[in-house]
Amino acid sequence: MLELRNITKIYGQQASAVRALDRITLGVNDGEFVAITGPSGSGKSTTLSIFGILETPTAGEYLIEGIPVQNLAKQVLALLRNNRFGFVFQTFNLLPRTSALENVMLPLIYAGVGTRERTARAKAALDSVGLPGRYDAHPNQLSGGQQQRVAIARAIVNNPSVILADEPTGNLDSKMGKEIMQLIQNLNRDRGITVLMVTHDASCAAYATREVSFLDGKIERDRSNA
Amino acid sequence: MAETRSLEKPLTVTTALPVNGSNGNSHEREPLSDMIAHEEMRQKRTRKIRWLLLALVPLLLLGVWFLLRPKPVPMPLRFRMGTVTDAGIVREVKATGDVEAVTTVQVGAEVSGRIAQVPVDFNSPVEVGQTLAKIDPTLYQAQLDQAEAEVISSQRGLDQAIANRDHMARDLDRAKQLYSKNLLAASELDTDTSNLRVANETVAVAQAAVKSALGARNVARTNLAHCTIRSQIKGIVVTRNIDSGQTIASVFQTPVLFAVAADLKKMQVVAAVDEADIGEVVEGQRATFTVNAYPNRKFEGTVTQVRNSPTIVEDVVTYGAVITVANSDLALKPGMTATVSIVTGFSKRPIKVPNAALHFTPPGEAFDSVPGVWTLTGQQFRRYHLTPGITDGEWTEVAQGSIPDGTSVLLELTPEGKNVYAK
Amino acid sequence: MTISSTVRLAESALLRNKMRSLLTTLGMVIGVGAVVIMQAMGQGATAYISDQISGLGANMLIAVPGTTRMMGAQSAGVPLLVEADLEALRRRAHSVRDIAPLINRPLRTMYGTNYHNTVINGTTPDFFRIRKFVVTEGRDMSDEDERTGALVCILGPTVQTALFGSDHAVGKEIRIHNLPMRVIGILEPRGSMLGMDADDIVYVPYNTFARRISGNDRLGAIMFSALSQDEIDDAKEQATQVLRQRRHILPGEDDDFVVRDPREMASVLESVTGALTILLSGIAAISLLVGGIGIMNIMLVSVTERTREIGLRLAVGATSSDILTQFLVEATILALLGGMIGLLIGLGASSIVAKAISIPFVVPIAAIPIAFGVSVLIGIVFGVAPARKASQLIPLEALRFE
Repeated sequence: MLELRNITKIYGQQASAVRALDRITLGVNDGEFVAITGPSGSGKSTTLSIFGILETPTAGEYLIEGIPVQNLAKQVLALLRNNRFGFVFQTFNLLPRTSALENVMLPLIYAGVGTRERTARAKAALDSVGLPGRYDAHPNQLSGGQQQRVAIARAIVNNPSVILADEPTGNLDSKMGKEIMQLIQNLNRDRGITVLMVTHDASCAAYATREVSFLDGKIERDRSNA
Repeated sequence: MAETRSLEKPLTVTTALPVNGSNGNSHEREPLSDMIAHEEMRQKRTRKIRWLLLALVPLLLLGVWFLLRPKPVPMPLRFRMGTVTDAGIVREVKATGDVEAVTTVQVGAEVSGRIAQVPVDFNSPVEVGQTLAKIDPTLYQAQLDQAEAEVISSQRGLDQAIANRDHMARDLDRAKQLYSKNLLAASELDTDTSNLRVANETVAVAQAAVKSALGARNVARTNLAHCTIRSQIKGIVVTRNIDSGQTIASVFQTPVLFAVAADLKKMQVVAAVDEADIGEVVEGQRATFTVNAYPNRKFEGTVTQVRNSPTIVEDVVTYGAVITVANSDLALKPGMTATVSIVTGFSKRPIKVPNAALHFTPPGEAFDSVPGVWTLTGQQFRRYHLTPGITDGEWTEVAQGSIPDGTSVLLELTPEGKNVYAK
Repeated sequence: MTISSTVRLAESALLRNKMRSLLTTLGMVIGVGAVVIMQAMGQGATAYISDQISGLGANMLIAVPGTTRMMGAQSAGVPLLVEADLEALRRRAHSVRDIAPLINRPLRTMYGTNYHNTVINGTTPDFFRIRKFVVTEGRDMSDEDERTGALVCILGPTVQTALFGSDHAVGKEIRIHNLPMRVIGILEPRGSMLGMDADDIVYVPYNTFARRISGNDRLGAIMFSALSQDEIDDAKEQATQVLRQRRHILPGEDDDFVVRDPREMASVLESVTGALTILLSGIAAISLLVGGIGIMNIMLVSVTERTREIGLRLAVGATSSDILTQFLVEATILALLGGMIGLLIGLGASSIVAKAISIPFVVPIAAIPIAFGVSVLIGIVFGVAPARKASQLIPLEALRFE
């Protein structure tokens, strides 16, 4: 259960200040697949970042499981990013010159998981996203879709309750985008992982069970796709 | 595009991750509140450990200092120790000397001349009076002949003088008778009287001449006899300096032709004993020596003479001590260098202490004029009063007083000890 | 985050850019190399000098008769020292610690049929303390030996070999000057000194020598040591005054003896090595500074380059201290790597140089921990700035960084 209460985010100072979010209140229930849509600069990415604790709001409250996040220690926040959230980015953000397996293992390293278990879980994660046997491939040896699968494997390897995806298909052609979307949908459906996905692509948003549209830092529309 | 391969793969994720086993999202995830609590506890623990480590640093430094700190030198390391033993003391004086035969007679020539014959060689056994060499006697024979002629001639002279004297005596008798009958003048009588006196003197001169001639004959005879050089003793020729044909001149000095050793079965060593040690050496003491020829053999002898005249070589004063030794197997040869130990004393009691122990007083203890040694027990010194007996330079007999065999006694300060007590 | 996984992370980060990593370490290589060469050369030179001089003992001084008008001492016509001088020094030179007479004579030593001509020295146990001579076998000369004028001797290894071959000598009796002398000890080998075999020597107690060999109380030299290094000059001055009085030298007259201080020779040589050391230290310090700055520079570039990576790490659960540690470890590994390469190069170079200028090659044991320590220190010091920069990145900004 994630909950934004009256979140305001202002970038910059005084004259050049930009109000990215304006008193947003938004709750996400466990197991939901929420698509966040809206034009560029509408605040949808900022919202996702606040959900993922990559960004701190200027004002307002963010509650995870009913607990306000802003009072928590840095270490707890890092821990939350590590075992509650899995991030999937538009640009994949894989470490270059590093094997797929090692990329997937990264969150487990910070979770303090032992080497053997780490390898086993990373392999299982790669298997589950449909990349068995590609453990040693480096990102530059993989196609965009495959790279995104590695990124998804990385996102799910530590059993997060929420996947935060920022334009996951933005850098992929429609066919690959579709595969990735199905993968994400399966994660949501079969494993009950909450998915929050920023997209400006209506076909992607169609996979979601709920769509929240942003406009100029405010929620314009919040509807169920069911 | 490399995407074709992934397309063939099923796109559904049906299998759950192997971790946490269960399906879907129902696996137990630690509630956030618990997580926060755990994290806080972990933080606290980390902080505690950090403080503990921080506290450990000075402790560690202290430990390092403690290990490296200048340690007080333990008492036993400050002293060099010796051990009391009961092996007894044999006091010895050491010296070196040459092996020689007890009697060696040098045989020389009293006359000059050419060596005609040498019937003996090195190592020849000789009897008393045996001819060792002959000098060509011709000259001395001629001299004898001449002297004998001289004897005859002088005897004839004597006979003549006696005859003359008898004649003169008769003349005087006749003159006396005539004079008593006053048939002769007193002056005639006086003449005859003095004539007889002259004749008497002439006889005395002739007698002396005979004696002289006899003496000369004896000289010549002796010289001739000296041409045959004989051994004065029974023994062995150890040196021969001449060969036949050689000419020797016996002018101011008698040339030594042979050395004859009386008996090589009895040898002696004249050991040069240092003036510092000679006081201990007395006749009758037992002595042992070795020679290089038999490094492992110990010869035993007896001191038979301690000479009173010093030998001074470069300010070093030594006295000769004669050690006689049996040499029945003739192993010893004259001239060998012997390293001699003269046993000058035995301890009465076997118990002995290292000499240094008797001269050492540990720092902090008062000097004790009563002789004794110090022992160390823990930090405590203990004094044993002992009356020293004889010493062999390294050990001293404990003549009186008791100290157990095996006791460790203080000898001197070690360098560490010196450093400690120098401060 | 365990330490090993941090190191592994840093390792893989560095391996991703092997060439750059290697070049980054160049400054460290030169710096540490210079430190090692400096240490090795300095220690080698010091070892060479102390080989030649400290073989003579610590705080040691020698009084010999003669004048120093020319380079060497001129001793003809000058009265020798005598035993009474020794006593006077012992009583009146207060800064003197140990004092030993020294008299020698070339003599023949014999054992069985073997003989060897060597120099017989008469001296006291103090001598061994001053010169720090140790016996490897048997025992030292004792005060007792000296007091009683015992017929004992200590052999240099050369004499032992000449007389005994490989047999045991201790306890055997050899003949010197027709005196039976028991061998009580064998000296530690000292090799050659200024071209002379320092092991071709025999020591007997001074009393034994005076009484049984020379028969007089004359001394060739008096060797003594000062109480401490600070008192060497005092000891020298006191000894000079005592000997001047003893030898009736009027004020203004030149000494007819010399009190020699081996340090005088040493100090000249040491000033040369000192200058060399300072020069090399300068080079080393500058190189290390340059090396450190090089590492900092490359690390800063690396942080900028890897901003997105840092963002990602933060996003997957790294704390800022994880990031700080990672970059610090990377900098330290770089510095250590450079240090190790420098150490090896330095050792190699100095062994070659040592051979070339024929001084002993001393492996500077101290330089190894120093190289490690300095490397780690530089890695940390110059790694802190880039690491802090990395750790303070805001996750989202870092992720969006282009």
